Amino acid sequence: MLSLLVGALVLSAIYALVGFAWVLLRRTNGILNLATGAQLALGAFIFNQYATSWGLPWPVVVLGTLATVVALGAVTHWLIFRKLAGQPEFALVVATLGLASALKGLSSLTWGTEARVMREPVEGRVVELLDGVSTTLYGIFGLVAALVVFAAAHAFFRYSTTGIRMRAAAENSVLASQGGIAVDWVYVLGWAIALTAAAIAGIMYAYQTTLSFHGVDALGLRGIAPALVGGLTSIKGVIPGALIIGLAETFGVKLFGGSAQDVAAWVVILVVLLIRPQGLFGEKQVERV
Amino acid sequence: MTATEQLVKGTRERPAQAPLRRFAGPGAVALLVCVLPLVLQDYQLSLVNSALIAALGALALTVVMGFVGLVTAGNAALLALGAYGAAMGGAEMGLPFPVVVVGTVLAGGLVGLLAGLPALRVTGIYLAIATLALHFIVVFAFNEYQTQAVGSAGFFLPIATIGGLAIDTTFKWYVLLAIVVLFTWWMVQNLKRSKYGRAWMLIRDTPLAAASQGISLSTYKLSAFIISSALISMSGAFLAYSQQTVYIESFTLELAIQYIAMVIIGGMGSAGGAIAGAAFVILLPTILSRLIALLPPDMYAAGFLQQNLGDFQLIMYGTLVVVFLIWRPDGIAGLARALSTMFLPGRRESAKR
Repeated sequence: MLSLLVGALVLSAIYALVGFAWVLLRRTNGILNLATGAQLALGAFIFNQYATSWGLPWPVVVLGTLATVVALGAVTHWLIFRKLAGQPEFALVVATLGLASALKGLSSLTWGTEARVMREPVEGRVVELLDGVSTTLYGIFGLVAALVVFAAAHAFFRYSTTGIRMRAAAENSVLASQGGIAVDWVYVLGWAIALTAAAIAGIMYAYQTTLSFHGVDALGLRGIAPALVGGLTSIKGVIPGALIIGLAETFGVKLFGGSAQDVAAWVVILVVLLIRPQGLFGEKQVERV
Repeated sequence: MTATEQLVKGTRERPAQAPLRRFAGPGAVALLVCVLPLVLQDYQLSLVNSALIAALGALALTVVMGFVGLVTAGNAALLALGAYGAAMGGAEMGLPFPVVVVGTVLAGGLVGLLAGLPALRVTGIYLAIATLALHFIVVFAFNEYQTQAVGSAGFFLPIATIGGLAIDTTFKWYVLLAIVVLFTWWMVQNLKRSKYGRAWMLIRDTPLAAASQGISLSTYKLSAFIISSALISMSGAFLAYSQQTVYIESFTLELAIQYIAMVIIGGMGSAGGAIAGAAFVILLPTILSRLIALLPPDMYAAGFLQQNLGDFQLIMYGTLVVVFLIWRPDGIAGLARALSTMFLPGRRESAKR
């Protein structure tokens, strides 16, 4: 029982990171990014390219992945979403679907579709926490990464000028740009942070399982579940959301077998939409006109 | 003319057209429908059939995406619903083809109601989330069902028969599908001009105005999604019967995006555009591989392109969606309109209205 809970917690950490990527883009850039799954996989594959295929030293791998992912975020904004500014939300969502398709094609063209094992920085040793309760080192890495990202995000949005500018741009982009905020750079930053968090989640997940586009892509899409449970625009809401999804998936697999992994999160989404579509911390988004 | 203007002026008054011009469009379509089976070989006609089935789905999607401006990612799930409905009804229970088709229409409408009801109480993007959930749950459920019933090879369907007439050749399928698509096209066009169509477009353009006209946003959105779901499910049944096999691997999220690409490339809100978009998306792989065959065969790139055609398709559909959204949100239909005003001066006047 306790080992199940530890497993759920480790999974929740990954979901928290993916959910963070969904929420950040929704909040800052106003985009429901259905390409999150593909971008998650892309980040993990880029990491794998540097780490495994080219065998670069670890600091270079980490910095290189970060730089590539940030550059990708900037390109995504300037090439696509900058040009769609002012179009209805509909167009933005459809564009992310198109982006997802294109990225999937690109990834499959470059790296194929078969599962890979990534080069490990340390041996994936099993860590015994208590008697009979154990997890891998990567599980702990994932937890630490999630904690660091959330703590950093909290501090960033509350105390840093850039963070406050990002919040301002999210609330009202026209007023913010009137106030002298370079809204485009805020959006680029939004993409960069979201894609970085997504890439971290993808890498951690790939270390805990294997790296395959299909697996990581599906994880990224399921990551909308913790975001929705938390209310789509609330960063702190992602944490309880991720815990709920982590528990639902772990116990779903325990009760109904391995295939429940693919649907547990989606069932939670339908239930949330039925009972409380605005989530735990979201503002009510009912169209009242 | 925007929907708002239409509402103010009323759509009943249509520009007086010379009889020749008025019948030119339908006449050309009728001619095309009759000529195609005469000039095409069997294989080419079967491609046209695939395009027609896709056109059915694209027409349905136009209602919800083009008229109401909602995003749905559940297209592959609804196709799977129709296809597995056909497999259950036609192959497992042995029901006649027309009964199965009606059944899949009802099932599609019901699933549309169930998926749309919770999501459409809130803003539009929640439908995208709900349909994404629908996709994964439906694919999971049918995968389980298929594994238990027949195994991974999938279902085999009997030949469709309507009142004793077996639809067993490409040509017969062509006739049936052409009739169904033309009827659906006519229906969607009429829907667009009806009270519902005007309300949908008003909701899309200015929800505030729609609500103040007493239009219930969620009811109208839901009705569009139900109609669209029923039709997509029906096209799934046609797909299953025409291919005579159903297996779960064909219903991917990329397939759902392909249908969205049809609507975006064809031109949102245009029924004719949806058909053009469907033809484009379905024929693109064939056209691509023909083009590649023209390259010198010893070229490395030619072999590489041919081997990875599937990946290039994904890239092209995705890129085209984004490019059309940015460059021409009115798609091929809008391009055609712009070109016809440019080159046919007589049209300029009617286009201005």
